[in-house]
Amino acid sequence: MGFYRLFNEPALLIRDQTLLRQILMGQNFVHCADNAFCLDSSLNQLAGYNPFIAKGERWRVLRGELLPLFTPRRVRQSLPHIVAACQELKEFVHKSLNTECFEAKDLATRYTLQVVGSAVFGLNAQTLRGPQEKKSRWLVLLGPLFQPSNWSLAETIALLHSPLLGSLLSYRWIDRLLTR
Amino acid sequence: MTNTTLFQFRYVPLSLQSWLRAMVDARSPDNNLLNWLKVEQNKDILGHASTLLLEGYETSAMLLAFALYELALHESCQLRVLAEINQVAHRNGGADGEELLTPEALAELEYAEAVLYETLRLHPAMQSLQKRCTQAFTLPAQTAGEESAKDGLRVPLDIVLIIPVQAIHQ
Repeated sequence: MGFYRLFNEPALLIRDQTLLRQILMGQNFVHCADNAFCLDSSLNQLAGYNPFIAKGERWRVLRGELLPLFTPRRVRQSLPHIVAACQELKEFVHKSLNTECFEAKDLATRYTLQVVGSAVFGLNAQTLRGPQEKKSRWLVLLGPLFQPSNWSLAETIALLHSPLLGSLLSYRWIDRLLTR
Repeated sequence: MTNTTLFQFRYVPLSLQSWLRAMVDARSPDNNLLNWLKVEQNKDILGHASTLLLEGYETSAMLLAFALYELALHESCQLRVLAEINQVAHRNGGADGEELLTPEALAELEYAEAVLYETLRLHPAMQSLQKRCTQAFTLPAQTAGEESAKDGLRVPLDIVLIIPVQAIHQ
């Protein structure tokens, strides 16, 4: 189905399951391999490593480097990190959770950050410490990262539609938090 | 540089990049994803670390939070998950939860896995996918039976293809 997306750019909306398969994994995958994001790579050096953003040959290389981390053997080897995080989660739920009412997103973020800190870095992110203790740096820095702000709509439009708007906003997908 | 300073002042007065670099440097020498990477350069490790970190926690946290929400709404499903967990724990030799955290026991939690997939159907991590055409090609025609049907649709270079994941799931 054809239509015009923002800024009068023609686009195709794909709904048919056979076509979806062809485009996402079948014979036409190579014809539309690029992710349709607009990011200024000089402002976004770290995001340039993200396979969801990278394009073409660079995407192929990056994906190839990440893929061996997720083989069945590697997943099995990652399990101890998850077991340890589950123990922390269990204690946190017993000690700190109000059973009448709790924020599921906060609890889930504490747990997944604990897993990521351990499995990716081998570090204890201490995100499941009790409320009376000091809040983990991981939560302080990363917790608000995906929360919407007043700029979110403009930034999303820039990311999906317009490199020009992106450069006006000096939009940095993650690196806006970064300094030299 | 004034610009950068302003941005720094305006958003987060802490440097995530140098923090991330410090975390990469502080990583343990044992089994972890960064040490399994087969890349030589430090900046490549830093780049992949940012991907693994940022793609690692938010989407999974959304899934878990929505799964808890849906289970709270559907009490019969909640009871069935609990019953399955107890059964599998019992079959694997205990009931305090430790026995569940083996690859074999986890694979037996079929209903719990189904709950997670159903949650992803209702609340997909990405509402839509967008791909850009890098080489013109022809999609097969969608209307059967007509003479012109075999012509198909020519997809020109650079056009954006949008896949409305959430709408398809509903």
